[in-house]
Amino acid sequence: MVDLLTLQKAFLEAYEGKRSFKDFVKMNTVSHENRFSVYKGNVEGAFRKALEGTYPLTWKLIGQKCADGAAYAFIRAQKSYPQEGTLLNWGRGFPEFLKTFEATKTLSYLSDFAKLEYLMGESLCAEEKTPLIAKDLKNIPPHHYGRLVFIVHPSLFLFYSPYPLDQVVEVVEEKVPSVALENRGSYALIIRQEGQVKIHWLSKVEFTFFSSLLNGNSLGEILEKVGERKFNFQEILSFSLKNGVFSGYTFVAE
Amino acid sequence: MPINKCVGVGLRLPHYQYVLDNTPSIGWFEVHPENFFMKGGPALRLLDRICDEYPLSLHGVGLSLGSAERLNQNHLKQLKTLIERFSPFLVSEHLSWSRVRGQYLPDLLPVPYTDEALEIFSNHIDEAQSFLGREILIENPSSYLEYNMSTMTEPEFLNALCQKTGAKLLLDINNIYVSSVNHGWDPSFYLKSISLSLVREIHLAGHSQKTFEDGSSLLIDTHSSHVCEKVWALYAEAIQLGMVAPTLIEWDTDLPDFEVLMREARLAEGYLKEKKVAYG
Repeated sequence: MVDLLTLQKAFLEAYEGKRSFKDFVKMNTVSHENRFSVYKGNVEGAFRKALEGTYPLTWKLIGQKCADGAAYAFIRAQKSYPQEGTLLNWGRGFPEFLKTFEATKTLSYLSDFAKLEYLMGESLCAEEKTPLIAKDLKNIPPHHYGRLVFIVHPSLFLFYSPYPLDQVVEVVEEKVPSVALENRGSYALIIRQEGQVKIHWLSKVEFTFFSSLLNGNSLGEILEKVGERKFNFQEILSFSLKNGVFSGYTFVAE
Repeated sequence: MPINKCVGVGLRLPHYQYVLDNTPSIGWFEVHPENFFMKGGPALRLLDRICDEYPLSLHGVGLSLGSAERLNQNHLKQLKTLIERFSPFLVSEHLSWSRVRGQYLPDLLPVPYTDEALEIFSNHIDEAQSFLGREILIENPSSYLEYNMSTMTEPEFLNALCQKTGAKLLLDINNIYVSSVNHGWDPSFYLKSISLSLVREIHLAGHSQKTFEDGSSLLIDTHSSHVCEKVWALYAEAIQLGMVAPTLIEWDTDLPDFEVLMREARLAEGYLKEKKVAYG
């Protein structure tokens, strides 16, 4: 009799098609292949469903049949499985896989669109923090502004793509029936507001500003790096407070 | 009504808003904790609101108590966090495994009923109950294969497991029926083999049949349809044996309107009331 660990390793190898599981199965009217196939189908089905749960907009964009095909190909090409016993936001590698999958590899923007969607899922499930409002900042002496380091909200993510993902999102959200993609990039700020994930499309300068914030730079360092004259700081501060971008602040040493 | 006479429903995402808007008359709800292993966000807040109105049970699918490897400590910690937040009246897991080589296969994979597996499973239940600071229930799974190395029947294994650990049973009547058909067991004998005092929760669900190319077939625990007549009959048999416990209607695939689940729940309540009449 084999031990439990050997049996379970054999199960995994059989799932991966590397061996038969026949030696372990009590034989009767239904063949061991048919019996094992139920488990294989269940596992693959659960992975597929999890991917659709992580990437519902990608499913909508390319259609159920195409997306399911990509999902099963991705699952079967997996070299590793989840390390945790949950499939929440599982499938981080799926967008890269879409670049190589025959039916989707010509859709050059698709992989980036799926990456954007993955971050939306991360944002939705991020830690709760109360965002700063204007009155939280009113007692900061003006001569300390340069040393101010904003702590960004845990649900905030930034994403740059060389493709106009804002146009793709408009199609998926059915704001327009179709679109001729422009030859430009897009800069996204993703954040959860009142229980819903929102995407704010930024300019390149604004994106640089928020990237510097995420990197923990002080306001003084950011203004020096970005160039104060290139954007309206009051506007960007107002946008940030309105949309819950900050969850705290601290100061760098003088 | 005492909770053991109450019928609950497995709560799935598409029904959350309906439940919050209508607060239907239902005894309790059950969710999979793994769907709430996030740091924050609307799903957790919705569950807070559900918990304000109804008793809640956490029914795990990913702890993998039957793995030869040690338990995933992160999983246990996340489960404990949810228990502390939602104070569920029941916490349950499955007689199954899903982790090997540190990798997770998302299904309830069958455990061989051997002395070694009993020892490992018991140790894992001890560890989980100790870490969580509470009793857990173990559910009999639907299975599609039996191991030729098994030396115990499934009820023998479950009884021994509970005796060793103090855990209790979540008896899934549909799973008994599905496994019995798939392996040629006698479902009535299975029921009678279970120690009555161990049963703390009962599950009811629908299943489907898969027919293979060679004409053979298996029942599959799809939770995709109404509870069938034979499962209702087995439920009635369990009640007559004295297995009166909080009962849950599970429906996960091809999810119907919530009213359909309510009707299934009312049917189950009818069986529980019949028991009340029969035994005063």
